[in-house]
Amino acid sequence: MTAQALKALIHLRNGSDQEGREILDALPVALYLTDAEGRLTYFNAAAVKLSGRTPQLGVDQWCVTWKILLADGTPLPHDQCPMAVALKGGEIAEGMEYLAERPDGTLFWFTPYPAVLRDEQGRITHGINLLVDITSRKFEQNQAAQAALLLSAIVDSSDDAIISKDLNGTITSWNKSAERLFGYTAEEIIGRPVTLLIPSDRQQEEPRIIARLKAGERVDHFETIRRRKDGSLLDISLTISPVRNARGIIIGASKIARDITERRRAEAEILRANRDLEQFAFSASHDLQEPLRGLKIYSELLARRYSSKLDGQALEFLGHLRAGATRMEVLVSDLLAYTQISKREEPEMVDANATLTIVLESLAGSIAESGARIDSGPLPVVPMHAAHLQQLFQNLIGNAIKYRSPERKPEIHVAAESQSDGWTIAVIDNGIGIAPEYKEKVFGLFKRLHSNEEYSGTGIGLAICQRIVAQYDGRIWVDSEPGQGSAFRFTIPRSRDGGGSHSGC
Amino acid sequence: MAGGHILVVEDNPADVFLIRETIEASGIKVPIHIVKDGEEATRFFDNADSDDSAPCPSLVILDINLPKKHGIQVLQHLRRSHRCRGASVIVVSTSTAAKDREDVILNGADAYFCKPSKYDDFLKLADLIREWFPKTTK
Repeated sequence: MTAQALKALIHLRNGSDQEGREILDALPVALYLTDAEGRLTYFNAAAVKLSGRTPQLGVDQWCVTWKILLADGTPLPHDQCPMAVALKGGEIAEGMEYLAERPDGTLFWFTPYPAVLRDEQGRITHGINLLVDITSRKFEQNQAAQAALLLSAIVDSSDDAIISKDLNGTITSWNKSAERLFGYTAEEIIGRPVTLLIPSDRQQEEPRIIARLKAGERVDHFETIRRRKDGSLLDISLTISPVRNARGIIIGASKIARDITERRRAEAEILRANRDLEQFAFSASHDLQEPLRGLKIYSELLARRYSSKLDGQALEFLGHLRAGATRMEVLVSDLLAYTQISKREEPEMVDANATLTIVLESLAGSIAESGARIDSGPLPVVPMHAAHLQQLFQNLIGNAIKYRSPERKPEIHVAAESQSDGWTIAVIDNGIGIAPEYKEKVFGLFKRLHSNEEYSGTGIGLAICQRIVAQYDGRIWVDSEPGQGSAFRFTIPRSRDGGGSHSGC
Repeated sequence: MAGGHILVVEDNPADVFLIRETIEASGIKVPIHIVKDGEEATRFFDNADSDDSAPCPSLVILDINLPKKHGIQVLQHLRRSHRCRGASVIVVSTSTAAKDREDVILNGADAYFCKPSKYDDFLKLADLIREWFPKTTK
């Protein structure tokens, strides 16, 4: 503000010119005048509004405001406020920002424009100050700054490496976890190509990722291998999203890399433990057969050769011994069958109609004995080992016959339904059914719902079914109305390539 | 020594008893020698090689899971023996796995018998004994 303009303002204020006075009062900017000592001689309406108080002319000194704070929140003594500094001959840097508190406790930001007027001798005669309210601008700045701070705090504290790159594949940002994970500091790596992190045999992944990003696609949980600064490799899961500028144009990508080395290790561990367990179960059931055979054959010989020498109770004991041995033999051989289910070789395509025919032939004895009626709808050709499908039908239809109602002849229906991702095959009977609380339990190993006198069995049959279906990433379940019948259903997916959905990257 | 002998290599006395009964059931009446582990079996062949008066079996009934030396090793040792290499060998085993059957046949066994858990089924071993006991020395 030039001295000329100031002078004009003061004249306007001092003059009797009513119009001039009205102009000052109506100015939308807070304005006040002081004498040489800084005592207020005039303030306009905007000054009252901004400061939240009505100053006392001739009493209030230096400022209209109640309390001034520096930008960092420390209170500024009244006699050091901008107008005071100017009147004492000091300089106020242009554009300084102050925070002030109103008597009601609310805060506002302002930039002061203090100036002084001197007489011909150079003595200060007046002071004038304009206070420009910058609260809303500061608020927006704060919002943006806080959001940026929050975001960078999140990025910095993330356990995942968060990296951004431009569409040339040049790294543009690099958080602390990225440093920890890959071994490069931000200073080392920003500006360098992201291919630095990609092992040489996987370099072709980057152009494919870039192509997908340019098409606006996101790459989710892409599991791959990356290289650390020291050359060691790590298993990671990548989620990569395109980053757009304000006009919506894709300018780069953000990349979140999660270390899955530990998870991979745990998975391998579980796999190994499962294999060990399988091996153990196989060996155990295999080795159990040997002593069992002796038990069986000698209890038989005892019965054959010494029956006449044994009394009634000894014969009864011998009967229990032989029944136990026979039952254990079935258990052990079923357990052996259970451990031998594996899909180590790729499955063939098998016609379920033909498989069903074979199974019905082998069940001919019990079908005839029970008077069961079995019909079937058209069945699909499924990607399974024939022996596995055979075992499924054998166990499910065998159960349907075994657990028949004493009140009616068994009627069993086998049907298939095609779904988008595979087939559901059902074996439906009119047998005794299963109470709801046992619907899950029946698939457990050695789970039996009946005593051996009621229905014989080892409790392995449905566990075998469950295990077979699981090998093909399918599932098996039962719907049942106790007393009315059961419907066992299992699914066989069309393609067994279950985990390969990211193969495109 | 002329005339046939049968050597039974079996560690389980329960099975030795059953094998004896099946030999009896086969109607073949020759001396039976019993050894209880793989080392005893190979020593039996070595004795026959070094002493012409020692017995040399015409038929060996050989269990496969033996202490000290595995049945396959016993089989290989037999096939290298000067005097006994021509003996017939029936392997008796609990295993139903096709691979185990193949293994013993490839190593020079003549027949494979899976030990059953019913007495009458066990007696079917007698048919194999009759089939493989060399006719000329009967």
